[in-house]
Amino acid sequence: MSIALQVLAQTAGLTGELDAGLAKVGYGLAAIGPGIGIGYLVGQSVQAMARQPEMAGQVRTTMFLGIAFAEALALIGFVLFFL
Amino acid sequence: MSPMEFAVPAPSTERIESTIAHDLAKKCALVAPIVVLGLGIWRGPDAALGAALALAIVVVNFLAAAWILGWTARHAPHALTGVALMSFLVRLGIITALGAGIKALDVVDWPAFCFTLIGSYLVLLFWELRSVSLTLAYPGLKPKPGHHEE
Repeated sequence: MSIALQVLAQTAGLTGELDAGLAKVGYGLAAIGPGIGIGYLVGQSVQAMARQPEMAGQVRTTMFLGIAFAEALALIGFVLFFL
Repeated sequence: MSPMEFAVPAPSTERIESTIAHDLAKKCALVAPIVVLGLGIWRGPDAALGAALALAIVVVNFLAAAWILGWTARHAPHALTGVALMSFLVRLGIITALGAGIKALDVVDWPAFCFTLIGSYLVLLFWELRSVSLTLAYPGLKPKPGHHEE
């Protein structure tokens, strides 16, 4: 009986560690996605500003809001990681 | 002007990002008392504290992002991509460290903190997007009475 309990406790411990590890991997993946998005978004915005400098104001407005939306994904990952 | 000379436009000196972030902060100041009081009444003082902290983190994150991106766009546009990515990583790291610290202290209602963080971030962003879409420009360009386009 006690051996069975020990095995059960060990399994539960391993599951807990696995969950924590998976949460960290998930958070990392949740940060990579917005990183790619922000890089692409800013790159395209710089290109747009170089092609049409007179539109820089609107491009920067759209870029800033786009970056903020991409960061929201990372924040969702943060919340899920800690929850 | 000879055919080989081009008129190079001067870099924009407008503080567009800061204007947007300040507008977001004003909107957050409008809804913050309602959110904090509502959560305080519903789930207790821990939830009110968590909501207040989450709202503060959201606003400071917006203001920091705006300051960093605005400064870079005005002074070093060639470094914009790198600075945007590094500032994203640094701010995310700071938020993670703050979150871990707040959770370790165990003084706030954690679900209230998390849901206020995500909810307020998205609501404020969509609210700002709506006003930007309506004016087709950042808030500082909103036409004022008596202002005529040259």
